[in-house]
Amino acid sequence: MAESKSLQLAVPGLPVSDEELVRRVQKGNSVAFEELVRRYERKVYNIAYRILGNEEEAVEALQDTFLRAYRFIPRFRFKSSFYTWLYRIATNVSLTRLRRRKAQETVSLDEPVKNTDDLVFDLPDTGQTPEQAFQQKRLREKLQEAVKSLPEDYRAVVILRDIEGLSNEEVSKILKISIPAVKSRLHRGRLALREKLVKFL
Amino acid sequence: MKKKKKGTAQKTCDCSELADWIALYIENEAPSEMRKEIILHLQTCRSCATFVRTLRRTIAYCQIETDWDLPADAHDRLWQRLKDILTTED
Ligand SMILES: [Zn+2]
Repeated sequence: MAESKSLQLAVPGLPVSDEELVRRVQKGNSVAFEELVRRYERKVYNIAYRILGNEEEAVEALQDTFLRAYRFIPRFRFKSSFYTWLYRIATNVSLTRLRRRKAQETVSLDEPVKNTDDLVFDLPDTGQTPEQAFQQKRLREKLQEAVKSLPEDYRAVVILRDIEGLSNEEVSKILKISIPAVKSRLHRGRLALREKLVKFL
Repeated sequence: MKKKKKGTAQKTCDCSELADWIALYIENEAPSEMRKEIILHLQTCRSCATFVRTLRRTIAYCQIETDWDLPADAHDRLWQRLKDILTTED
């Protein structure tokens, strides 16, 4: 019997697991891939955006990630969770772009680096006013700027571990580095981030 | 009477030791003896206490960060590119 093109629920009312969707894609069901895209497009975009610090590049990295994922999904062997595997692709695609951009930037140094250090920022302590909503938005931007300025090795670890909330084990699989290496990069990344944010803390 | 500096019941680390151990301490992975010494040190050393507090806040800010929304056309552009490969390979 041919598998239906539409998404069938394994148990009515319960969402199909990522792994089941991957199996369906591997059998040629592209609708299952569309569901995986829906589940993870925002996460993938966020990883890319935080690594690259640029919307347009992140949108392109998002596309590249899923195109690659579709191409390589027949080789997925279920040794890790699907999202760990997908985030690895997203991280690699983004870091590759970042390196390419940096190589180009070293050639043209005309554009001055944007310095945001002079933007004084105070944390709101109580209440929820429009002013504070604005402040909070600015803190997010501050954090984004600070993350963007981290050295590449630390940046990916801080993004995946502290911002995306993945475990040491997951980050170790995504970046293909040892757990002690994850921990040490994380610590150095946090120290560097603290340096950049300390006047707002 | 001169007070003995060492050999008291409670031992504290110094600032440079704290720097070595802080990664473990922050992650709650420090052995309990070490942990006690760090806590004691933080009670007596203002600069290390500030350092640890700001480090914790830095981490907390990362952890409470929520995802950014996809830019307006990002979803459509992604589908546009996927549509090509998904339909041609069916
Ligand atoms: Zn100290």
